[in-house]
Amino acid sequence: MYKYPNIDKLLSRRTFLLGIGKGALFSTVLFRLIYLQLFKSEKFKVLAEKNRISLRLIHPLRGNIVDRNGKILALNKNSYNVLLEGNKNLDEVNQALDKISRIIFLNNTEVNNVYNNLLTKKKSDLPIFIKKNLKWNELSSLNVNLINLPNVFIEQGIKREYPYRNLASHVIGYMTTPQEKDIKKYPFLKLMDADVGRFGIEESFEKELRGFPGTKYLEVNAYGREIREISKEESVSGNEVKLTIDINLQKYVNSLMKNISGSVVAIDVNNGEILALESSPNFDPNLFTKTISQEDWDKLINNPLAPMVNKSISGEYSPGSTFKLIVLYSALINNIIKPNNVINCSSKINFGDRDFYCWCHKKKTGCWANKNHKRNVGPELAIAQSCDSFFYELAKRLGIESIVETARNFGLGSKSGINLKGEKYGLVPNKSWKKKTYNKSWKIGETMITGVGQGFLRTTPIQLAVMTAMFANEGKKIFPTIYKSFGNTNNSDNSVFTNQTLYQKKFFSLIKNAMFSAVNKPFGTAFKSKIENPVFAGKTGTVQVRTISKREREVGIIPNKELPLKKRDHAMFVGFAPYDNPKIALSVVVEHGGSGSKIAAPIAKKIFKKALS
Amino acid sequence: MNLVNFLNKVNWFFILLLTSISAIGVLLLYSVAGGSWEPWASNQIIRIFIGIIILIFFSFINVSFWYKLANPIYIFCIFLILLTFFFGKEVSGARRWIDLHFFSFQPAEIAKIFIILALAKYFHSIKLQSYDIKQKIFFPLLILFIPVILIFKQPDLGTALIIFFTGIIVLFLSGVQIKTFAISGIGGLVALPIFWTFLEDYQKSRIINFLDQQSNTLGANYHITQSKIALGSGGFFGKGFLEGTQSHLSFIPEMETDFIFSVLGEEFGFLGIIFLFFLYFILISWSINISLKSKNYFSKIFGISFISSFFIVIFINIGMVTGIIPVVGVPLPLCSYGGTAILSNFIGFGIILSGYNSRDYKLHNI
Repeated sequence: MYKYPNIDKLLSRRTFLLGIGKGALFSTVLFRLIYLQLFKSEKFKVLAEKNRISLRLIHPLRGNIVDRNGKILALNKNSYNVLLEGNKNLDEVNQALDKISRIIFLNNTEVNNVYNNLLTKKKSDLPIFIKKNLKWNELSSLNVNLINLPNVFIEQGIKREYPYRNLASHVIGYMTTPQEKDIKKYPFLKLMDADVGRFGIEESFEKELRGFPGTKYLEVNAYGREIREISKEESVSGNEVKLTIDINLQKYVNSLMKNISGSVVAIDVNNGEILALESSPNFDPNLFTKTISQEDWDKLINNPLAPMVNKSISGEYSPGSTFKLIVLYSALINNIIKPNNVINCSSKINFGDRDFYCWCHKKKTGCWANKNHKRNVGPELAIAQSCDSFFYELAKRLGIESIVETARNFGLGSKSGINLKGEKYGLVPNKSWKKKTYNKSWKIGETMITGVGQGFLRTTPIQLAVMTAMFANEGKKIFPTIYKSFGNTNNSDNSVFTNQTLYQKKFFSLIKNAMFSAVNKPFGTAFKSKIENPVFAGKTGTVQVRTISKREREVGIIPNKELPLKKRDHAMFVGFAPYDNPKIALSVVVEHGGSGSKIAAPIAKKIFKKALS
Repeated sequence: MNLVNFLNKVNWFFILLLTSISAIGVLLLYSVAGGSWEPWASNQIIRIFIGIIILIFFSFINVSFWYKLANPIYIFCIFLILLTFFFGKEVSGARRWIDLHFFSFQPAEIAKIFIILALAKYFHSIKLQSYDIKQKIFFPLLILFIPVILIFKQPDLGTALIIFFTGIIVLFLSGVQIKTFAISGIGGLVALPIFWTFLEDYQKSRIINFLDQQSNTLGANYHITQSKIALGSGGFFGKGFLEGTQSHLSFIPEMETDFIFSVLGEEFGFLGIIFLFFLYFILISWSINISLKSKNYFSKIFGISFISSFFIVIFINIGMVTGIIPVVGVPLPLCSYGGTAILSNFIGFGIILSGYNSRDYKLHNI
């Protein structure tokens, strides 16, 4: 049996044992504190600073975009964004989103963005955007509830606004959420959750417009509330970009192109400044500022008239009869034809196994030459009445390579170099191109077809405008430009243009005179559009988008209005004004509009009148 | 007894020790209020002052008074705990407080002392009757478990655990065989899953969170994480008085009560902590020393048990804020803001001094 010792001694002994136990417990606490405070101190100091200090980026003001007269086309408006303090874990984010979504509506895109940002910003400690561009009611209900939303704060940001809405939208562009490639180019876009310029000037001048973000270090408490500002570096605003566009002219052009798919380019013939550039239909860039809805986006993208394509620089069309200017000029400088030579128009040329028809063939009204028994066509008449036979013959004599060389000198087949994204080259075909592309040799017949601006040939409306301007300014090479200046930097391109004169002046006056006749003489194709002020000159074009079969020629060509829209001819007009002292050159393209003289020339007339009044 | 005699008999050293520790608490309360006496520091000073008066008063009471009244006071305490179930003020789902309008208190905090007192009396009387403690273990367990279960049901897991551990210590000190503890320990482990089912959901989640620290820094673990950051960032010398960022920017939760130690670690560093530990060490060893000097088994048992309980509370609190044990909501003795805790500690030390001052008085069984 167990013998109890003296109970006082037992107590002393147990007290001692207990003391050892206490010592052991105390040691664990002590070692823990040594570990935390002595060995891990640096790590915890960093964590404490992270807790305390919050880095905020200050959005730079994006530069305005203004027209040539200083009218503001794109500007910044204050917006309010709701953000979550950075360096937060998933639970905190979930909780914040849950609370916020009870106060304001968050769509799926916004919620997904938060989680994506959470992953990419893990190390940056920067705040995470929850919703941008709050509406007033959202802002006020969030403000009231902010006290219950730890680590959530509202920040004043900027949003882009385009007061002229649809006008010049293809030139200006729009702002949108950056994609992977944008972020690679400008990494801070992600950090700032800034939108990136897309399309037009907003994209090509992104760097100049953006400016540099500032930084602000704040001391914040556990609820993410600002206690004080520790340091601040101001942001640097972006540069203003001044365009060559005249928004009033643009507005007028836009009104003429209502319900029309096509393009108008108005260019200063002396320095290449683009005064108006209309691609129709267009879009409202303001739609993109507030994250565009799927419905609106589908509408834009699925529209068969392609409102999101800048047809002025990306649309590639057969130049049709407008190309005859090039062919004639080429023939003159290559001594293929003398100014006083004439060619007989028989309205149909048989070459090889193919018939080549003049547009006057079997027409009820007939060719002007035909009607007045004047079948001998000289250069002036050939341009003015757009005689196809004349140019089949001329092209055949010239050969494709000469035509190509002249076309290239006038800027066809290459990019104009305008500062807008998405410009296309067009196509000036020659022998080697055909060999390379189709592995077939070039045929004379193809040269003849090229002579009337059909076949493989493709040009963009801006190329046609530049070409016309160079006829108007008698051969001065010009480079189309869309901006006058950004910040304090003037565009040097438009003041220094190569003053080199292409070939002989007398041929230019001949062509200009022919273009004058086309508009101002009764036998001209655009005579119906003749006006006294300003007197303008030009060349019509009616571009076939289908092949007319032999059988159809025999029974009678189906009139345009009886064809489905997609098969109707493109109506074109290029011209310049005033005739005596050229200032503006124009190219007008109306997709499937019908004949150039009926549809495109009247538009050009109105624009000239407006621009030069 | 004239005044000089009285002043001579007061245990000034002891009072100085208690005041020093309490002063550290006041300093921290002043700091966490952003350098203000309001709302905590000034109240705390008043409580400490009342505590010291009670301590002096109690220290002059003869030990026989406590011995005689141990059981009635114990029963009164049980009565007060029961009252909380009917009239208790509900704070975050628990009824621990009795509100007397001009002041409110937690009966469990007070009960802690008088449970020890009742157990001490029981073992003292046992010793006078018989040395065979073996058959008499049922009654002390009853004394212990009635309040423990009631407090656990309030619910106040922290205090219940502390009283339970204190009771075990009393049993250990009074000579219950180590074998018995071993068997009960194994039995306890077996009973753990049953005990688990009685826990409230938030108590369960706290324990789960503690066991799963890395994945969750927001819930209960957010407290531990922020507390560790505060302690660690304090380093050796600390950030300086009123300079703590974790505390002043509210990253530390409940920093005036449960997490006051983190504030000390942040502002005064490891050095400050060692200084506090030193004071605690002197207080505890001095208390054990004077308790053992008594000729009464009652005084010895009470003194050593009380001071052990005092130590356990310190350990649980610091263990909690340093992240080595779960968050159980236990204040740091003498430092944390809280009237009942301050007063109960001064009462406890008062009874220790009472035993010391009447150490030569021979208690008779009654």
